[in-house]
Amino acid sequence: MTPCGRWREELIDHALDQPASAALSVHLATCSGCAAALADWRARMGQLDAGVRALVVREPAPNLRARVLAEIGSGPTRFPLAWGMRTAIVGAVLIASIVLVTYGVALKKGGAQSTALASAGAALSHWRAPTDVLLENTRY
Amino acid sequence: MVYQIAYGVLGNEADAEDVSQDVFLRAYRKLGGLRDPEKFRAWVARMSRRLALNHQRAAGRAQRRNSSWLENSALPAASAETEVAARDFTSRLRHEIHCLPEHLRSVLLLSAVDGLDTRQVADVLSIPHGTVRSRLHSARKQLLRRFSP
Repeated sequence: MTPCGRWREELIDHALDQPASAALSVHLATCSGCAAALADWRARMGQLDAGVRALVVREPAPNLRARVLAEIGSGPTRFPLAWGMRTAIVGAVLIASIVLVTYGVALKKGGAQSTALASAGAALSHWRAPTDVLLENTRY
Repeated sequence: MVYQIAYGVLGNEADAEDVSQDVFLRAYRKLGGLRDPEKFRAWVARMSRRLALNHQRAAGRAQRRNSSWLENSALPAASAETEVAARDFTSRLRHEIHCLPEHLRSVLLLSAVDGLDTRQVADVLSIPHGTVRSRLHSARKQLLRRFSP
């Protein structure tokens, strides 16, 4: 049945779950054409909603989970480093860079200062941990 | 959810599976960086959509859907006639969805994904909840008009 032209837009909105105005509610009580059109639009919208869901809601291939797990378990190198380990590595690289830059700048300046720094660098390269020394001196 | 979001963008099972696999792996590797565990669902959903769109752009398909989009999604039918009618309906629905403007289509398809309500759709698209609701209403209204005499 054909709805009244005046109410068409509001009927469509109401079919899409928008609340009906008081005036529309009164009109629907007395107009069979509009009431039938509303019922028809609601049914159509239900079909369209179901159709959209059927197009989108689907399951992946059964082996997708296994593929993902296989990829994750394919090697320890793929595992992310712990935050602490990352920080330690970054810190060590930073310190080494500072030492190297300082050493390089000192060499460029030349003179006694660079000689002193060069000596310090050499001493650093020969530095041994106290525990190493202790272990050497207390061999059984 | 991940697969459905990817499929909604790509319309292709193989590509959706590839993207889904990528999403799961990235989520696994970056899980430590997620500050708020309650945002996990939206975080993964956003990643799914972003990677699917990247995949689509890389393949050069932009807004165009290939002919296999949603091909195998025929609605269940009780008889041969009903099956033909269902297939026609699906084909036409697919076309009409494709004709929707992108900002309406994305909201419509995301809202149909299992497990995503309109608030979560708003999170995924980084738009206000009210905007999602109004776009969803507009998308459904346009579809209803096109399927009405």
